Amino acid sequence: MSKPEFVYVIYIGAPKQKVWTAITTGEHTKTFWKRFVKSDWKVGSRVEFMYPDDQTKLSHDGEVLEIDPPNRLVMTFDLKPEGIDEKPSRVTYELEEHELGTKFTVIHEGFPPDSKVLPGISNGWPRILSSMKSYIESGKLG
Amino acid sequence: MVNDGDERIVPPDLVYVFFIRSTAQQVWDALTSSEFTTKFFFGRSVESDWKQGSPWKMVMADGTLDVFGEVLVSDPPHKLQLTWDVDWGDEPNPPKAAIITYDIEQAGDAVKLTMTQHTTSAIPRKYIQAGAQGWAIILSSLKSLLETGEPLIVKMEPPK
Repeated sequence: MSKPEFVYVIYIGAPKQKVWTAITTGEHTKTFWKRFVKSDWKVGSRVEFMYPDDQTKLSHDGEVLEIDPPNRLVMTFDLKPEGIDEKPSRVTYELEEHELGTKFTVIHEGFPPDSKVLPGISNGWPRILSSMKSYIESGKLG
Repeated sequence: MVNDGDERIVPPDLVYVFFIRSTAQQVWDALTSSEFTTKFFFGRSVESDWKQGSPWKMVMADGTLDVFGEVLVSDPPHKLQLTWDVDWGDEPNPPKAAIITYDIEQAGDAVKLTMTQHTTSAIPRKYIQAGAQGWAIILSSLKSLLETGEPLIVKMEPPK
């Protein structure tokens, strides 16, 4: 029996510090994610994902559970701002230096049975991560 | 102690979705031409006429046969389905061929490539992990190659 979860691995041709900067900085995430991420990135801090053209409008939010830049980030993921009343799930980013660049793993887990969120994020992450890879490899971060 | 790596299970389908800024035809060509596969598929070349019912094979840079099978579905440039068999060597009771399906569809200004690996018989656990890891590298490198002109480069030993 496997638990309902989503795991995705992508390799990005850049050092992990660059990938970390891209995924934790609103100015970058607004480009490839269409969400502006805001947080002071400390354990217990709130993380907000805002719509980039209206930075008072929340898409989803959460709380930092673990952080070890540029290696690992664990946060909760709550879609209540979008009107989906389901207990928060949990997102982990793992970054590992690899001979090809950075191995970036997303683990999204902690879903209730018959989750409404899981099918949506299963479609969403491949788009976001494909877009992030293009953004970083095209050299837009410098 | 039980060695988990040797335990055999039938894994669930492995599904990988990548969005690539390219055209369906270019993605098809990349998957079916050695000119491209040698760059992103661990140096392997491919041989087939890619017609339904035809054999196909993948060969390592030193000429060793790596993967072989039959073309089950060929609908260029949108769908390619292959049986995927390997030489299991001394492995007793070798597993049956897997089925690999590539679905290629336009999605806005990008192409959505879905790779599905369907395994029909139990295989040792250690190969499942390695296989999933391999596909993540191959598809990441394919995307880089089509978008930037360069695959993800594995550092090679200097020529002797």
